[in-house]
Amino acid sequence: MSSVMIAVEGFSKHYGTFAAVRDLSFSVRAGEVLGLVGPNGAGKTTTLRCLTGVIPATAGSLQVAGINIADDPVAAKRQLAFFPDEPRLFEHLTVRQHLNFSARIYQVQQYEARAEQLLAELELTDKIDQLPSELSRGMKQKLVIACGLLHSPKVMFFDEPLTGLDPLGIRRMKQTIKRLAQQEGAAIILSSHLMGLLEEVCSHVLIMKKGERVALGTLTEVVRQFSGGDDAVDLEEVFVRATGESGE
Amino acid sequence: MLSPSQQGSVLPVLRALIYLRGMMLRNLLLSYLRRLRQPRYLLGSAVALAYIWFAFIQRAERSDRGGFMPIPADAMEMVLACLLIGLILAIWLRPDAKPGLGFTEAETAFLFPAPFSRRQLIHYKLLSGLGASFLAALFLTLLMARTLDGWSDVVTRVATWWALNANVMLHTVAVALVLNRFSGYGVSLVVRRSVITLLCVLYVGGLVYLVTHEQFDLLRQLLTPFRALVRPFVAGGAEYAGSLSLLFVVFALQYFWVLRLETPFEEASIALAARHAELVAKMRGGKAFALQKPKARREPFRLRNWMPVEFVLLWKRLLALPAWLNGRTFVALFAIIVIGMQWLQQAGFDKAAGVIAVIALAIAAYLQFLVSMIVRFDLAQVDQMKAWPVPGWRIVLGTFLSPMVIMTGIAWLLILAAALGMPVETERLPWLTSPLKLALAVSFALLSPAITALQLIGPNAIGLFFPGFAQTSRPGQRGFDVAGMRMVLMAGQLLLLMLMLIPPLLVAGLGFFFSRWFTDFTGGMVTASACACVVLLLEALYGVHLLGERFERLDVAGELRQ
Repeated sequence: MSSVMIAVEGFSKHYGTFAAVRDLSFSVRAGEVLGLVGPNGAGKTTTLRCLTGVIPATAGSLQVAGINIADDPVAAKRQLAFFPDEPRLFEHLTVRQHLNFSARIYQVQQYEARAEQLLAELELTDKIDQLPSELSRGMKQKLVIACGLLHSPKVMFFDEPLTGLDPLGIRRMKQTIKRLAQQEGAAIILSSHLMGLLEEVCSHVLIMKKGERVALGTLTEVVRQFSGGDDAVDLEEVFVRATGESGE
Repeated sequence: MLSPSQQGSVLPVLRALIYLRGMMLRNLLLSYLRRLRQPRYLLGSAVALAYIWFAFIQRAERSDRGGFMPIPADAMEMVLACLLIGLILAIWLRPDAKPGLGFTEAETAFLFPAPFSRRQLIHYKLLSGLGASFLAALFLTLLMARTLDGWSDVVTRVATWWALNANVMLHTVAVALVLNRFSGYGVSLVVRRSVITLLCVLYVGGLVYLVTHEQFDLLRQLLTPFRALVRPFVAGGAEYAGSLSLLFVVFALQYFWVLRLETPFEEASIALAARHAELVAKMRGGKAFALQKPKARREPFRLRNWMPVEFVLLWKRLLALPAWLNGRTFVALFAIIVIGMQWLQQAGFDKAAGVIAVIALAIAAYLQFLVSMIVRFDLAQVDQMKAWPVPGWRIVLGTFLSPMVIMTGIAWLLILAAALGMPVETERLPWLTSPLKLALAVSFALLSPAITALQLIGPNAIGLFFPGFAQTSRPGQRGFDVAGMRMVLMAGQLLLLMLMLIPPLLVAGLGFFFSRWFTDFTGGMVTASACACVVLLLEALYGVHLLGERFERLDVAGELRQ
């Protein structure tokens, strides 16, 4: 059985008296893709930010690749990559220079071969000397992914990865996420409102509402939990039933 | 023992920072050189260079005043020390409960999840701030080049500004971290701001007391530490070296202090970066004056089905204004001005009323200038408006109505304040009689909306006839060449305005001449103003039609692509 790469135990995050996340526990093994779903304000982005060490947790234990983020954030961050929903790039750095900069901050030696491979995979080779202003939204997203994959992370976090992509870009993104999990054995958490994406890409689902866990398990388990014996129920219907949203 | 988040060498962040800034500078220069191939950027660069040369460098080289200082060195030192204290209090008065550190959105996206400790991120921020402080020092030195005496003075002034700016930057970072810690301890924003406001009041009150009671020795003693910090601006020779060294010592101490402040800042910094990015996007979109978050407000007037499209545009634009800017505020201000000015005069504060009158007139004149900067067609919006089934001139007219209404309202209030406050038949102004004052006020009130209309036509004509040029020089666009283009644009606007003022001035002259057959001087002046007003409005109408035609023919996509 593959090892646990993301372990969350009793995690809470408070902003003053407001609890954004309450007593959340789950784990993700290598090669698994966990879909994080929930209505707006459920605590998904807060969970991702705490897991990536960007903001500190109020309580609980967050481990990435066996390293507790609170104890050694720098070592934990070496093992992970975070891909936000919006590609935020340096206005005056070219594609090549973004990769070079990423290699410096992650201290990746001899990064050139890996960069070339990533650029070819993500079809960015001919854009190497272009600035972000000359790239489409999809290309920018791909550049962010190339920068994030440069240090070969074992754990990845995607926040709404399909936002603004065209149909071809969506297909490629899905393929990339699947390949990273299945072939490279990465543990992935993917936050999205697109149930179709989760059904297609994720092995497990965690449904959150108002900072709390509503359901957790494999896709089949979660669907079974809320289907009430109806085989025709899809994830979207499960989400509606689990979160108590009307869907009207 | 340091926690792991505190550990971390400065070298990795320094290397990353040097690479980032070096490459950004290189690419910026390359893109600047590339765009010089376009004539408008070349012209802009030439104008900006010429301006810097004639306005600053040549004057500095010609300066034979031996380091010109407007007031004695001792007094200057005290003034600068007071300003520094004011700046420090302003830094502590920050409006956010948890202030963030100034990172860009790209920096937060790349650096915050990267394997850097919190301390390394602070190193990055501080070292990055040093570069920005140096650029600011160069700019400030250039701005005050006229007060310098030769190139050695330039070097010492740059060093002084750099050291002071760097200290202010460090203090800003330290304050942000301390306030985050206060917030963590449960100190509310209200409590913190109340304490700082109280300190500000005590400080200003103390200053006023000491100055009015001529307690300059005590003031000098109280300001000692701050005078020491600004002394490099007034000192020379060995004293300069000593005082600059003190700034470096303070810098080192503050750097140490900042690094010891182990406080989470990431969340607040992400929020700050997002706000900053939003602000930049608004400025680039030509909405520099709409920086506040929009809030729903009461309708300025009930929109009826029969109302023409010009009123719809007026209604829409008035809705976008802050809620407090409404008819009730206008009436309240009217009452305050009338009652306030009468009270000032009855209470014997004639001089104060006179000063207010002069200030009101100056503001009215400045607002007339400002209006040309505020309302300009945004090409992106033009594309949307062109889809409306309405002739172009009506859209142009509708767009101009709201600034005309607002500016006229403000101008009338200011004219009212000036008319009520201006004393008549004084020693200085024996010719200013009551009837003449009334005639002047009526004339200004008549001319105000017409001049506002003309002020709107000029810049927008340039914007629609030379859209690429106007679009590039919008607020938020950066660059040396863009600054030059703005100067060209302003000169063009001024020239156009002067040309447009010729016909109304001629007609006003004729009106005045003929009216003198049947009325006195003041009556002639009102007649002349009315004549000028008619011609100005006719010009404005013609301009609106001309702009409307251009508006309909404009290929927005083609212009934006250039």
